[in-house]
Amino acid sequence: MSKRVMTVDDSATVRQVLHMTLEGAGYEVLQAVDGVDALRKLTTETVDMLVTDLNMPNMDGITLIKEVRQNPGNRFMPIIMLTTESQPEKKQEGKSAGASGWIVKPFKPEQLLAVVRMVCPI
Amino acid sequence: MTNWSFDEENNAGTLSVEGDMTINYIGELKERLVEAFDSAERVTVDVSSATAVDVAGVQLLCACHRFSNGRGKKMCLRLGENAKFAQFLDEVGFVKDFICNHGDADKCLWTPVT
Amino acid sequence: MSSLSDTFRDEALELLQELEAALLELEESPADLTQIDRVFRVLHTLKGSGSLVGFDNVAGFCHEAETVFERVRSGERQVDQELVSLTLSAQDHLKGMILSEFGADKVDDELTAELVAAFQALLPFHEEEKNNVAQVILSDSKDQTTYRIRFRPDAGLFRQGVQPQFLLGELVQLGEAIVVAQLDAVPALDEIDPEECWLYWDILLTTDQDENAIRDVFIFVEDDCELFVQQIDDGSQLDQPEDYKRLGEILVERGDLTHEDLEKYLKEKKRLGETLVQEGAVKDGVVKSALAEQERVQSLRRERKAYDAMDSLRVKSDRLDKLVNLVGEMVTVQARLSQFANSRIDAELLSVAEEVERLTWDLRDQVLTIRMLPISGTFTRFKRLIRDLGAELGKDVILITEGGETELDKTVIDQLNDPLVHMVRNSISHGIESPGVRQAIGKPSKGRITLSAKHSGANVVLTVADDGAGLDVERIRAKAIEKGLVSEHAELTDREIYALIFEPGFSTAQEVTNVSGRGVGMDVVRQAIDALRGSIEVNSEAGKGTSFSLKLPLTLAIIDGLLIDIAADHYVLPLSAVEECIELTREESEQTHGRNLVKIRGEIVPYVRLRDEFKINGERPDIEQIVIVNIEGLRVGFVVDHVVGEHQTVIKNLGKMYQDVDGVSGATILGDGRVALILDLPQLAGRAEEYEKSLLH
Repeated sequence: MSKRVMTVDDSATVRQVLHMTLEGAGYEVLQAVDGVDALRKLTTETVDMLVTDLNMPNMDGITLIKEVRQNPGNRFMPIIMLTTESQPEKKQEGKSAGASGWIVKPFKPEQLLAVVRMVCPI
Repeated sequence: MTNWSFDEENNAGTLSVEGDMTINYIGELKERLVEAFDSAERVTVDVSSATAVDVAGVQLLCACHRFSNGRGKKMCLRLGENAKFAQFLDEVGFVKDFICNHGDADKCLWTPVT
Repeated sequence: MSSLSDTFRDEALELLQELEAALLELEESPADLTQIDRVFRVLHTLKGSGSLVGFDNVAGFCHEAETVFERVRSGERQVDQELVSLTLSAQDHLKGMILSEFGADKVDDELTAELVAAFQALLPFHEEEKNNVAQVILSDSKDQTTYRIRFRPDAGLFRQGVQPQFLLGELVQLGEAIVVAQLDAVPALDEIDPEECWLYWDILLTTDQDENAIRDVFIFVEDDCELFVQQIDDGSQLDQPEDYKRLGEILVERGDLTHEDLEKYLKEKKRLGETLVQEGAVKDGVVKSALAEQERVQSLRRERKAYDAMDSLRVKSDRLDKLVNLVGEMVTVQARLSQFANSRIDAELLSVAEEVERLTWDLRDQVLTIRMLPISGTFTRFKRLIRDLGAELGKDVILITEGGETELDKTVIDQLNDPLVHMVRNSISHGIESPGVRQAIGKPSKGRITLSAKHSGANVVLTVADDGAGLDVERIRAKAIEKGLVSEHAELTDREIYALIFEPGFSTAQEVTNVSGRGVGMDVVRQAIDALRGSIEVNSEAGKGTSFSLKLPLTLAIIDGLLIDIAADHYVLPLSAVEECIELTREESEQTHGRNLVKIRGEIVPYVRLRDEFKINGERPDIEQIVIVNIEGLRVGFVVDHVVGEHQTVIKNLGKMYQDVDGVSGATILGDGRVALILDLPQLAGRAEEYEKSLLH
């Protein structure tokens, strides 16, 4: 059974890299451009995992993670956050909000897959 | 998701799990198991048709076993041909020889009835 | 979907516009936090995207500006006119940098350096560039270390979206692991909160990785669990006693038993494990896990000791080569001695010659075994390769090895590495489907690659098999036609089509990946295997997988040969390929109307006249011999004048001058001092096939 992943990032480049990498590894990918877009899509779609950027306009990643965890259906869903080396404190903040793990940007496709497979293997 | 059948004569029942025994459904599954142990002396949990299992799922079976031992009840696990389930037990280290806490192999839950 | 670099260009230009707008706002109101944030975010996003798509110069440049704005954001610096102007110039420059990648003029590198220096000058002191590149140090040593790991997650683990089985799965990938779940903390059904995790695990891991690699598996949960990683056995230390710690000691080390309790229970004269469980001091599962540790380490140490004992004498391999050469000469001289003794009627001489023959053969066998190594060393190296390649290509692959104990000559093993790597790469990139595809067609998502070795007579058969899509006969055929390797109307069996992949320059990968290379295909493998006097057989089933079987000689130094004569010359055929010898009368050969075919028990077998092949003059005998050999499943006959018999053939390489002579792979010296050429059967057989085809067209 294929797994569905929602990727949330305001950068089209990052979204495309995430999409290509994950789809190539057999995941089904759903894109959202920011927290608000993600939450709206999650009202009609169910996914097995969320990969979200932290620094985004409209609704940042931390708020998104907190909101997502509010939904009973998403309480145990793996959530991976995209952080950068310049904001290590965000890791802890994200973890407290309910994130499962993180990937430091910039990442290589194989690093992304290694992390994704660790929390949500196909 | 679960199916309960009760044999009044022997005071024995079988709870068949037909869906996912995973964290997302674990609360409901616990309720069904509590009901099952409340209503029979011998409970067989049949997971041969369970479609998925995770650590929360097997942990709940342990909890049942602990409970039934404490109340002097009898619990059996039926694995059937569920290879996925068996493989999972293997992956998370449910090795019968290692983890059975009763010294008596017959009492070990992880010596399942096929 | 548009190409990734186009996406990046469009996004970058949009971001730069936003940057400009924000900077202009900042110029008006330098303390506007929203605008400061906006500038920072744009630079940050641009840097991230840039490095993702390989625009490292853009990423590096953004980093400089971002560092300054990070300080602004944290209040350590004010925005002033200088910073705004500088960043506006940087904005223009970034645009140029990006567009230059899409055909516009190159940017002035000096200006890049100037701007970078200007940003750096705004920092209070030059910040040391943090080394953000994760350094992966691959330890060369294959020493196996054993770790004792206890992983006790916090009860809230599941709510963090983390499933422990995946972490355990990652751990198991690092080496040989025994995973034991500990159940003693699980509450009874009426008390348990089933959404909390009460299980914990003892894992015993033998791996060539270091402790950091183990801790990395748990990196996401390191603050939400108790994790003990302890090295309990180090493979690089040679002087460890074979005995391992006693049970009580292990339990105390693990923190499952206090020292005082241990002392107390040791006084009871029973077995400690039983006592502890009976007294309820330690749970049964914990005792068993400790016993498992004891057993594992002891058996590891025993194995290592046995291996060290085996390995205790190190000899330089060139000395061994000399020894093999000497034995080779001795075999040759011994052959002469036997020949000489047979020609005399001297019982005493004959018995001495026989004795020398027996000893020489023994000596030969012994010397050759010294050079034999198990193939397992080569197999182990593939574990990592397969994991890395799989990750690179987005495929999930596991390696299964069989028959690692099979021994081969060191020279053969050394030369096998490259062809094997090539075949495994091919299997992963072309054979194994991506996990999604595999699931869709009902296969397990993990692909399997099996490396196996087994003895088969004087040969070793190595098999590289995958459970992937199988060779696509139609595509190979189409490609071969396109490349002009076969004619459009040629009727080819599957086997013949498979053989095409070994043709030079053949490659069907629709997209060239950086893994299986460009154009260099299986022909390289074929050449390497030919050089080892081996052969390749391909089997494939659509949707089930492909297997390559390499048949290799045990050794390259001495082979069992079949000595044959043509006119006054001697030749040797590798005996391992020979199936049978039959007679060919002049009548029979004339009946086939010039076609070189012979019927053997109903089967038509083509043959090659070596006399014609080597252009040897003279009259051929009335009754010739056909030596039937089997080359990669094809039967071919070689017509010779006489079959002399078996011959222990010490292989001598031909000099440079003769290295490229077709049909000959080496030479040997016979008992009477004459030289015999060793025939390269696959090459000769290939010619027979060509000849047959030329007759058909």
